[in-house]
Amino acid sequence: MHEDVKYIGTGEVAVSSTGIIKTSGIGSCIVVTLYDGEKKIGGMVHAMLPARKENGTEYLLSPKYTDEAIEILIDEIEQQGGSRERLKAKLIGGAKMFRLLSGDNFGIGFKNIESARENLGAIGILIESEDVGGTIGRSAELNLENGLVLVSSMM
Amino acid sequence: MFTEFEQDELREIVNIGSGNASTALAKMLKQKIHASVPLILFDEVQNILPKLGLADSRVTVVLVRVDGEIPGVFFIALPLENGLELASMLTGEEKSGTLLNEFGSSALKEVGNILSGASLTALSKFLGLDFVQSVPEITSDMLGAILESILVETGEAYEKILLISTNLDFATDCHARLFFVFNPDATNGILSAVQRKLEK
Repeated sequence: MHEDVKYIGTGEVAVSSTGIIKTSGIGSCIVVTLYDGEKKIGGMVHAMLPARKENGTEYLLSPKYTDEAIEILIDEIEQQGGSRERLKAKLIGGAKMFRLLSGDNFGIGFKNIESARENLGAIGILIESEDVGGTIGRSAELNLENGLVLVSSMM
Repeated sequence: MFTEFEQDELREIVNIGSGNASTALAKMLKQKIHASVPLILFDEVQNILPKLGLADSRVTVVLVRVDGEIPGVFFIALPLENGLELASMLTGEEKSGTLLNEFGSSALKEVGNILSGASLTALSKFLGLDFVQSVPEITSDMLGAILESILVETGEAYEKILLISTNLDFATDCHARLFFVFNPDATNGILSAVQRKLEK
């Protein structure tokens, strides 16, 4: 068991160079982890929506939105000595928990996955692996020693 | 955002609904069920979630979508074990395994139907507002994953959503929680219906 575990909730972000960052109960939300293997620094964000609705007025970036969450995560990692050139991403979540709410094809989960892929692609960050979609909830933990992510589900 | 008076009104309305729901369920199970005073939360999704329990606790949820003049979602959450117990009480089958079988699932869906029907009919009569309820959907998973999905899908277009919840405690140490989630349009509709009623 690791002593050094930091938990984040929905709409939160964390960056570290030691221990583990963990989040539980990922449904339609998307969790993005970024890791710089050379500097052994990385972070995780648990975002809810693909993007903000209104863009007119000035606002502070919020980890609620997938696109802004990725920006926040990269900035934070670079401030602590990492580099976007070396970051590798992993995606977890984006499930469809209820057909009644999401319809048959496209729900928030799907849009969150698409938003993460697009935004990472635009910056040029490789997605190393994904455990996304489906109809199950997940939990994820990022190990800062090696950048590995452990995903678990109830079923 | 809501005045004390408006919160009291909402609490009273949900009391009527959940009172009817628990009476219906108590009759069906032939046992006493205690309904708690409703909890009212009006906030952004990320602030509501931590107040509703541990994200990784395992639950079974039966959900009904509500359309019409009070659009929103009604759902019941039971700890996994309690879901199995309730299913066994209803079907008369011995509890076996850790997952609901087909028969148990449809028994719990029927409970969802009855509870949502009882509470929403009471609400709609009291307020004079019409609604249509969907067929129920059931799933077992982590509480956090289920709640965030429901709240985000319901509140996508809105900054804040209204969530009202009531605990049902069974005589046989079984616990269920009823949730009503309304989007702001529905909430305003409910409040003005109450005003109209009070002015009469």
